[in-house]
Amino acid sequence: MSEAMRARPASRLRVAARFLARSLDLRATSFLLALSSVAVGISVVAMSLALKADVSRKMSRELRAYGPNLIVTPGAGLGGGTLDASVTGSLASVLSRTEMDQTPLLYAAGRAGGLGLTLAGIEFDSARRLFPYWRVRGAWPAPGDGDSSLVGARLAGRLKVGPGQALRIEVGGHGAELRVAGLVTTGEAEEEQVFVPLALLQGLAGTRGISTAALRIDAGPDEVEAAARDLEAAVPGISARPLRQVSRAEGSLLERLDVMMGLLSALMLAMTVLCVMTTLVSIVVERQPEIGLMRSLGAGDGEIILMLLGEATLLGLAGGLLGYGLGVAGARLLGHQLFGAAIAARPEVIPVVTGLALAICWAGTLLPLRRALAIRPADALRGE
Amino acid sequence: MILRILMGSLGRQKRRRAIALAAVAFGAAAATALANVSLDIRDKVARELRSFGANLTVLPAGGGSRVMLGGEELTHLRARAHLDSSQVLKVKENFWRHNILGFAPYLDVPARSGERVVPVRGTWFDRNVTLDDGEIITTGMKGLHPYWKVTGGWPTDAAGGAGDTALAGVRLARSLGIQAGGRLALRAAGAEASLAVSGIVETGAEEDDLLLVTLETAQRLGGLPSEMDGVLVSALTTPEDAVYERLGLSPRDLPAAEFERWSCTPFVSSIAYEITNALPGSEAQPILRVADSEGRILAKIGGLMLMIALAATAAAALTVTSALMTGVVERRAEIGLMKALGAQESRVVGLFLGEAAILGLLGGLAGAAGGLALSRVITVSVFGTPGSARPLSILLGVAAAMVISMAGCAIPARGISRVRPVEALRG
Repeated sequence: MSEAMRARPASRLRVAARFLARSLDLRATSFLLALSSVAVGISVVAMSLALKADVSRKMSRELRAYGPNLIVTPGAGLGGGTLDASVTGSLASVLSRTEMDQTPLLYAAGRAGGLGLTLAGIEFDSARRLFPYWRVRGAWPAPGDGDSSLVGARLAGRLKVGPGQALRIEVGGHGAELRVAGLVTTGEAEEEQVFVPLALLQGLAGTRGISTAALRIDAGPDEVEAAARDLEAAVPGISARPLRQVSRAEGSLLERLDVMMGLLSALMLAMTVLCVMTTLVSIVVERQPEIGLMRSLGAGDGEIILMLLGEATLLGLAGGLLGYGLGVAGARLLGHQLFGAAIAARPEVIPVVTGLALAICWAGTLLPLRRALAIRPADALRGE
Repeated sequence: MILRILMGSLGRQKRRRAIALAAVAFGAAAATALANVSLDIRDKVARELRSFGANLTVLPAGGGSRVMLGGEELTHLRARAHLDSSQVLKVKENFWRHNILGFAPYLDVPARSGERVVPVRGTWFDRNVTLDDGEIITTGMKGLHPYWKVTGGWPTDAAGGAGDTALAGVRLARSLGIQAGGRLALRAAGAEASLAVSGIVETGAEEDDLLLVTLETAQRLGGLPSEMDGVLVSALTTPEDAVYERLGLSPRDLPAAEFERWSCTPFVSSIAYEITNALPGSEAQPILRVADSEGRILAKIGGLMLMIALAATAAAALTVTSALMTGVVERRAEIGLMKALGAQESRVVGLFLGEAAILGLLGGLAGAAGGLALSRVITVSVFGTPGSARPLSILLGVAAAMVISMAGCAIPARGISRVRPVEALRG
């Protein structure tokens, strides 16, 4: 008796499996159609999830173009003193857990071509990373090039120098002969300055210090302000000022982008669910005669439900995985096109999208099922 | 005849039609909403980006911009050039008046408080001015820099500039030991003044070391009654084309037709060109730190939205198409019957396409309406203001719906010729 009880569900499953296999065989076309619609719908969801997760990080990298968002100066305030050159190392170690970049600057008053002007000592390679918006006519000095300079474009007009020409600068009693590598246009004060290698200016001015360090921290406005407080607490004698305008505006922009991507993902999800469900509902509706036939041949509701759910499960699993693959490929393509860097595939999305696909398929199958099962076999066979 | 069959066919099978209609409408709604959002987003983000501050600066032609270092003037050996401050409205009264969102003139004057050097900058805070066409606008530093943090209050900024109130930069205030509500006596080349400090401003930029006063106060202090050093301008721009960026330094060298196109597009360089022409003796330049990054970000966001809209429309199309295709596949019996009764293949195909067109139109219109409502919800919740409904996006939505439903029928319609009446009727 107990053996028979256990055997029954097993044999029911076997029958259902045979039904399922046969049904798939007979209805390959419409199964493929449904599969493609599930896969495409899920791929859009997977793509927008991947984008949502990665877009603000990618955008914040784009926002680097705004240049530094934190300035470190000597604590004394107005124009006083210099920082020890070793301070850049301390800054880096305090912020070792944050993604950041920095460049040191030393300002000195000097003369060139008979004009009094500002000389700025910089490291050309790090400055080039930190000031991506500088437009240089000519070329940036090569890293390690100790006697080339960049001249502000407006100043160059008055000095009457161009790329490739020589420029003699003087600081205090010392002078040096430099080659003009390029002219800088920024629309700001840099156009009135001469940029020379940091080490050279330190030598001329007889100091080992720097005037400021410009930092770029890839983080939100609150983290930038926190970093400024951390720096002031950890490194004595400095004043760290967040460039509020840049960091606040960036934060607000990123927040809005994030909200928008979230809403769009939700929209895509809703659309996908509705479209795929309508497809599945229409498929079950079309199959009413078949269901009637099965019932007239003696199939119980259980077998029919099992068969349909089996189909839906297969559809959901296959569609979910296929859709994930397509979505990741789409996101990758988009990342390359827009940001020149792949958008990371997130394996943790797989269970989410597969579960979603299964839920949609089950719901789309079960929803019209009650009506289908209510139909009397005779009516269905007559085609009404 | 065919019309009657069409109406009859649509009248029957109501549930099946309703499902197909719903599918088409959902697809059209997605397409319309995304198209509308992506058409609007550049404008919205461009306005958002204006909170980065001015993206153009207007300076005296030939003269250099001032070089400040830690609050000290380093360009003292150079003769200063000025602009005429009575001409400042020319910055907005030109071809691009609708793109100029805000501007503020400024004048720097070195002053002393006791023995201390206090750099003073005169400017507009939030001033009401009347333009040549009668429009009254409010503009100034407050609008240009929404993220300045002011403790205390902004100075009163009346058109006459009579109120001798000032805003002190946070570092200057700390070193002078003054607070919001305090007073500060100043002495400069032109006059002396006693200013009420209404608030302390923290910007993280050079203003932290400055004392900000109204333009008129600075002019009186400096003995420069109608001068200004320059104007900061915030303009709504479109990203520069790479072509023009390369040629950007000399627009005059562009061929005539290209120049026309360049000067009628709100590139930051063409707005600068127009301002330079409008304000005599001036030279307007883009602040590349802001203008360059802005163009880059706008281009990325525009591209991102376009791609998403395309992907979503394609996905909706495929999903709906497959829903409709199953409909045709399941209707083999009907097709067989029609053929058995002597209907030509073209007639049958025409019937199906006609059905699809009606379905597409109805679904498209319903979807477009829903999509517009959706895009409104999205823009309001992201940017706080509703975007405009673009007719183009409605057109796109309806067209997408038509194409989707026609394609959903046309692809399986090829199979109609393969339906043999006898087999179909036998089932």
